Amino acid sequence: MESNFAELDSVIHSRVRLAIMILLLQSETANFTYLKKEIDVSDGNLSTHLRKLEEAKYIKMQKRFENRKPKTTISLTDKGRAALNEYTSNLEEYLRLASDGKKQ
Amino acid sequence: MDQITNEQALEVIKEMIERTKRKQNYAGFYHLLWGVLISLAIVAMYILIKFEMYDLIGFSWAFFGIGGAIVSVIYSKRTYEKQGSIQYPDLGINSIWMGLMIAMFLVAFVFPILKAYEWYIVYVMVSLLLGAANFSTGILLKQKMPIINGILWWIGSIFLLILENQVAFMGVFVLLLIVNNVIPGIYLYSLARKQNGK
Repeated sequence: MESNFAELDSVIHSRVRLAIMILLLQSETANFTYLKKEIDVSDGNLSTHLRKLEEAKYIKMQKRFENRKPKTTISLTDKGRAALNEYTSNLEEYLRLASDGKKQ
Repeated sequence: MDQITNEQALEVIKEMIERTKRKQNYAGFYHLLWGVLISLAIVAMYILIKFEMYDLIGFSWAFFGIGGAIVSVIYSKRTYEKQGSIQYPDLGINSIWMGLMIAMFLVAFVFPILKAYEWYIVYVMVSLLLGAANFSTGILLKQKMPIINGILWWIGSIFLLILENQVAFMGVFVLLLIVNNVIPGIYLYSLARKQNGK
C-alpha cells in the first residue's frame, strides 16, 4: 500500500471489535448480553475484545452487581467515536481506490 | 487472528447497521399509557364536577400525571434490562414523553391553580402537547401514522377552542384521544411485535 495512506486502526480492524464499535455507535449504552447475542460470540471471546477496546480508551465499561449477578454496561467514549470516524473514512478511501484500480 | 480484509470490514459495518435498523423497539407504550391516563382523568373530572368538587379537578390530573411518571420510569428501566441496549431513537422517544409529562403537570395542575386560564383551556393545551409528542415520535420512528395523529391533535385543538357545547367539547376530545393515541398505540405495538419476530 502507498505510504501516504493512513493505516487502518488495528484496534478496530477486527470482526468482533468493529461490530462492537458499530453497535455502540447506535446506542447510548449496551450490556454484555446484548453484544454477545448480536455479534454471536462466546463470553471469553467478547471479554477479550472488550478489554482491548477499553485499554485503547475507545469504550467505557461500568460493572455493578444486581441481585448478586454481575451487570456490565458498555458505552462508546468520545475518543472511540473519533477513532471510528477516522477508521470508516480511511476504509472508504481504501475501498474507493481499490475499486478505481479494478476499473483501470 | 481476528483480522479482516477491507471488504469484510464493510460487510461487518453493513450487517451491524442492518441488525439494529430492522428492529423497532418502541411498542406504542406511551401512546397507550397516556390514552388510558387521560381517559381516567376525564372520568374523574366528570365525577368531581357532578359532586361540585371543582377544587379537586387539578389534583386528579396531578394524581394521574405523577402515576404516569412513575410507571414510565419503571417501564423504561425494565425495557432497557430486557433489550440490553438503549438506542438513540428510543432515548429520543423516552425524552419526548418524559418532557410531555412535565409540561402536562404544569399545564393541567400548576397553571389552573394559579388561575392562569379556564378549565377547558387545559384540554386545548393537552391536545397541543400530545400533538407535538405524536409528531416527534413519528419523525423518529419514520412512521407516517403518529405524524398524522400529531397533525390531527393540532387541528382538533382549534375545534376545541371553537366548540361551546360542553358535551360536544368532551366528545371531540375523547374522539381525538381514541383516534390519535389509542389506535396508533395498538398499531405500534403490533408493528414492534412483528418486526421483533414475536
